[in-house]
Amino acid sequence: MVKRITRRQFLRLSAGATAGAVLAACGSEPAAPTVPTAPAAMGATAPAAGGATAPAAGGAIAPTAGGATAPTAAPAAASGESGTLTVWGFEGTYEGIESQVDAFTKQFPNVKVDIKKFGYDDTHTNLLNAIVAGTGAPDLVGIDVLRLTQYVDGLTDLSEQAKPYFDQFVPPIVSLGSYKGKFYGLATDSEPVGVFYRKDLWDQYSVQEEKIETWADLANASGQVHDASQGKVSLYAMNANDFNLFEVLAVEQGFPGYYFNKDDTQVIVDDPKMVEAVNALKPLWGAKGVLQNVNGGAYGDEMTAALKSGKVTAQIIGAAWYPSTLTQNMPELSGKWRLMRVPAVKKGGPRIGYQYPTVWVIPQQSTLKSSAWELAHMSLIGDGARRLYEKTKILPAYKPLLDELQTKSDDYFGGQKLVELSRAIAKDTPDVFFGTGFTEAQEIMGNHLQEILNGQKSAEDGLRAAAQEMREKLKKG
Amino acid sequence: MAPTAQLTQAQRPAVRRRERWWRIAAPYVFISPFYILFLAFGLLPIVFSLVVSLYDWRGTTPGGFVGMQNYQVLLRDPTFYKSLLNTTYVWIGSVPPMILLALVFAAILNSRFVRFRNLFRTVYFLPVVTSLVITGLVFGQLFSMSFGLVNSALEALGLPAFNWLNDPTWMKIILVLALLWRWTGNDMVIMLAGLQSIPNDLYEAARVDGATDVQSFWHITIPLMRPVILFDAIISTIGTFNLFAEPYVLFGQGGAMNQAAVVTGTFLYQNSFRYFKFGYASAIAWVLAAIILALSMLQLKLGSREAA
Repeated sequence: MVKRITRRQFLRLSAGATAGAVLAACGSEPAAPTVPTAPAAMGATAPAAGGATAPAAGGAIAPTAGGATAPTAAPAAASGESGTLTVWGFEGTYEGIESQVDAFTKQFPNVKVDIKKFGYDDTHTNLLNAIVAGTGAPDLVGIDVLRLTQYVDGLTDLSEQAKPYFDQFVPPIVSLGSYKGKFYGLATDSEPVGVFYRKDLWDQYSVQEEKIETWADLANASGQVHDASQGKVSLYAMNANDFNLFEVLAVEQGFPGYYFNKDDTQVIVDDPKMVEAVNALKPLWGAKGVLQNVNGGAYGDEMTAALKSGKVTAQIIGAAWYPSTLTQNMPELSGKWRLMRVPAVKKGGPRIGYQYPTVWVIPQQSTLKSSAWELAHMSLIGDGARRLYEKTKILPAYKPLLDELQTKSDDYFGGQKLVELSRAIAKDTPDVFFGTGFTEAQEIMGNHLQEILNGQKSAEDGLRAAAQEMREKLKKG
Repeated sequence: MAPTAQLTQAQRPAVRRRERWWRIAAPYVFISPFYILFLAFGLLPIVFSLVVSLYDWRGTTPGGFVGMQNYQVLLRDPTFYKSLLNTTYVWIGSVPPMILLALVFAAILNSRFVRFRNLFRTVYFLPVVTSLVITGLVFGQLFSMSFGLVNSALEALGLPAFNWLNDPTWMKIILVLALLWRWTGNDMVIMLAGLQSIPNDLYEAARVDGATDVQSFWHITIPLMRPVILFDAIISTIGTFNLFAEPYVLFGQGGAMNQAAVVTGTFLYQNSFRYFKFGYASAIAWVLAAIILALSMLQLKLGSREAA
């Protein structure tokens, strides 16, 4: 039987061992295994907050309300709290919260909001450090959903509070914020994936969107652009270790857990369907004129510069937040960009993909859980969601706002109904999920994928090796 | 007054005992802050990491005892070997040239014939006080494919731009260059201190005997500098195997394309702060400590054999 140990037990054990070494005394026996944490604290806040934000408030936040989204039912629990509510977030997450601070402090004058902006990595590392240390965690923090499972033992179960709003969010947002029957956070955004391309350049080099149905079609068009531009322009750029491409293929091949099966117990990357898909990637990599291995990857500065200068005509794996990058870095290219679905592995196959939304979670350490929930709620629903979209152009997950936006055409994308297409892609995508060890699986896949694409291994051997490494390191079947 | 005096007399043996105890304890009390801090922030984390290395501990989730499994997995982990290989490459590429350069620069700056010696010493030392992150960013910008100064120069000469930061060989060379640029000044100061401790009489005697400057350097400076060079080599070896900031900023924690720049420091960081595998990361740390210890012992042995 495996003996479990917690952080405190580790500390106790180490202290005992140290004392033993120094004082030649007996080390303390590790205490009996305990389940970490705080059902009591959760119990103390959850029902009250849940009641505070019940359907009445939800009803008050009608789609048409737009700016007037403050919950009508004053949250009793939150109003009883006082202190400084600390929020952590990275760019593209905290803007919605920021837009609601004034409204929030008007409603809850005893609670001051302090937003600390970190980089992506720092937000996640700092949160872990705080949870492990048992102190210093914020009251509310935006994290990448693919890393949610790494923190769940230190987060508050928000099932009660969030349940009344579940139907106001598009799938798979609710399932993404859930883990083992508990719900930990609502997402700010939805992340379907498509190809963002320069329409003017595609017209110039006679590439037609309608004719690109499969990855092989895209590969064929690459040579066409290369020849027509005398080698000066690449249709697309690609990195050999780009696990995002593999993830799109996995979803297209019917694996919504990307690297894992539905129960998150088994690795699926060496499935024959994935071998077939990765074989379909090879021509894409080897096609004439592909700009290979751009430093910083698909979303790095070099790639942005290449797209801005017209040296590359398309971002083939563009998540729903990518319009934010385009509009902020290339405002001069307004009207020239378009979005299309990612190609399929086989003609007539699904053309779908989904990346990783940001979810707002409340650490168990928070002493202002009800207030934190209220602020998260205000920023995710109604005006907060709208303000975040207006500022960042990141596709919202809030259904009423999507209903409204999908009828609108987007000038930056030449009048294309961007939200409508993104939403359609998301709708066609099965409920994806990100299992434990997801980030490590990505890295392992990237390493093996480049060996396959560089011809060092066959797709079958490379994927088998990747699967074996994942199974050993992630302890899955 | 009398009762007080009597009381004092009655208590005298106890007071004496206290004074004697205090005389013995006082030195320990005065040095205790160091030991308390060392226990709390030195020994405890070391012991803690050894214990953690035997558990599958993920930070927030309770960890199961796995015995030596983390070490077994590590010894089968291809990324670990890649990181060791890359680190060895960087170690060989940077430490010997750095020591040589530092010694030469120090010898030159120790010479009486060089003017503005203090200015030069400051200039050579400046990279050491520059932020590690800035060093990484500057080198990243220099060798950037699209915006880099190096590629701009190549293009000005009519040569094609090169993807320096994605070429497995050049990635390591750039890392070595960044390390040389940043740390040579530091080693130079250590060498300079060593050079200044060599008595001038030896050089004067050699000169009287007809030795040239080069001969003096080889037969006086180098042998007398051996302990300093050895110290520098050991410190630099430890530093290289703990290398983190430069490769992290230049190539990210994954070591970029083909893991060509993943070093032991970034490999350890990746497992602890990205994957939250603290048990595994602790096992990495202990294996690294063993490797560094072995290398240091080897250097000491070789150094002492040469001296003998």
